[in-house]
Amino acid sequence: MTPDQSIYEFQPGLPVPGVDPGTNLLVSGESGSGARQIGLELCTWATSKEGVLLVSADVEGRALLDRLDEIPRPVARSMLGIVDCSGMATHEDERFAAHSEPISHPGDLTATELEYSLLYEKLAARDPRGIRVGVFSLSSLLAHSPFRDVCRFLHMLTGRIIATDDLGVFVVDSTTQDRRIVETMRHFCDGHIEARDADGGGVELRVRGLDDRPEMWEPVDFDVPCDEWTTATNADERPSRDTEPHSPEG
Amino acid sequence: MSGTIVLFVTPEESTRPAPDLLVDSSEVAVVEESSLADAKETIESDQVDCLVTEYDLPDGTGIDLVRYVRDTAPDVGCILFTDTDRETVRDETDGRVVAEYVDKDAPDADERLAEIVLVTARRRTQTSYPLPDDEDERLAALERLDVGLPSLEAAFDRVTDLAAAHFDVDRAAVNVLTEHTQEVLVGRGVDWTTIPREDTICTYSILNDDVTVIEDTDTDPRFEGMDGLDDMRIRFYAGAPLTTDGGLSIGTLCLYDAEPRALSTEEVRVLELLADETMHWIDLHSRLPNRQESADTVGVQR
Repeated sequence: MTPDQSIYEFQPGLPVPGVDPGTNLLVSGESGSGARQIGLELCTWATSKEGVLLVSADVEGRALLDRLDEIPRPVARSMLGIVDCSGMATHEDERFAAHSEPISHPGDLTATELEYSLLYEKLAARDPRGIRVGVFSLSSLLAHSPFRDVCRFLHMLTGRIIATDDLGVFVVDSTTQDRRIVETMRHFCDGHIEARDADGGGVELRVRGLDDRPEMWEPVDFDVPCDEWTTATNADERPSRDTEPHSPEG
Repeated sequence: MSGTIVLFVTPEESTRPAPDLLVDSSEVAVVEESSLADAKETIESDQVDCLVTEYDLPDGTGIDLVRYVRDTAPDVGCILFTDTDRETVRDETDGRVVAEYVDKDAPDADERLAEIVLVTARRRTQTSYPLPDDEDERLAALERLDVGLPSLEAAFDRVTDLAAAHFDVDRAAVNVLTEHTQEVLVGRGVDWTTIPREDTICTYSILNDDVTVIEDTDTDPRFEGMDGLDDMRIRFYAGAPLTTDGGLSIGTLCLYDAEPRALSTEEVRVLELLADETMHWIDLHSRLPNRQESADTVGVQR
């Protein structure tokens, strides 16, 4: 799909290496450990030429959009799509109805995949270099569907991401899930990023399976100065917050 | 012609046959059917790797066909390729039909379908269980090793007898994991021979290098709702991988019991040794010149 996409990079404050197109990452951590925020950071550190497609099972789509408004780095709204399967959507927000029908509950995996694929094509029509896909969260899906069904869904989605050379980020709350479930989920992904509270505050990450570096806990620096965000390769590709509607329809 | 088979189901009157991108591909072989009944027949008789189906069929729907596949050949990847409105498709399912979806009306729909079909069929990305990273190499190794050799039966008999007696368990078996099934080569006290891989514990065991011990299947969330374990009276399970010199796990040496229990560190070590011995015999017999070829079916119960 994206012959120009060479690597998906992440913000300098995250001790996570850039990954090849078609990579799937599991992000896990206990409630409050920052895993969810890390997942969002991985998805939204997108250039203006990348799309972002989020599957929101934990929170209503509008609330997730509001959350994205709070992060310091802008997300190109014309390249953003949200599949709301939280079951909490009120059907009043035309922005979402314009490009994705809300889904009644996180257990409807059929509808989630259907809406995902339709929204994906709308983003793809904008000719992005790649699309960063985030699922928030597997825990919510597991709370509403049998383990085997969620595994098949996860396996299917990671396969699609491989097929289309995108990036997949799958968040799971390890507080609510047995470690054996998390370990099984890990096998569907290429890498596993674990988050935990650091002694003295902050968040630490341990990255497994992505490169040959030692698997050790490293701190996250969310306050990396803005002038360090740009690199020689993508200095002119930082997205700008535009006023276009959230629908990726052109 | 490729050994990877894609079944493409669309009514005869359809103006959208299988895309050329797939038909002309050297990576897959496309078989075309035009009804639910014919598609079912093909799935029963051929090893289909991926199903692509229209929603409206003359004798049913694509959802009917996906449900049939999930019941009979659950590992097969399923893709709905249709321009039927989303509400119609959603209304027919209870949300539990997990399948890919490609809108026929989308720009570049044929290219998208081909992308997804090739990955789904070759990498088997719709199984409900994870695959080892070296799955292709693992299956190739299994094919090279003639594990069904009659000359191996005596060795397997001894191992399973010894295991059952030493660990004081109901049952013990030597199993291999094929692409879609678990096959019992020799089983002491077991009354099954072939199980779909998604219904087995061993499919998880081969993900590990070490012995897998499930002290109580009732408390392991991975096996919740797996009614087959109740039917087979499996509450306790221990499986040691049968690993080639190249590090590929072709199967397991397993213990089963109807009551929960644990294994000590020493017992785990003994099970590992027995598995190593079993693998040694498989390797040795596979190298014997002029060996008697294996029977068509594997699976011996006593």
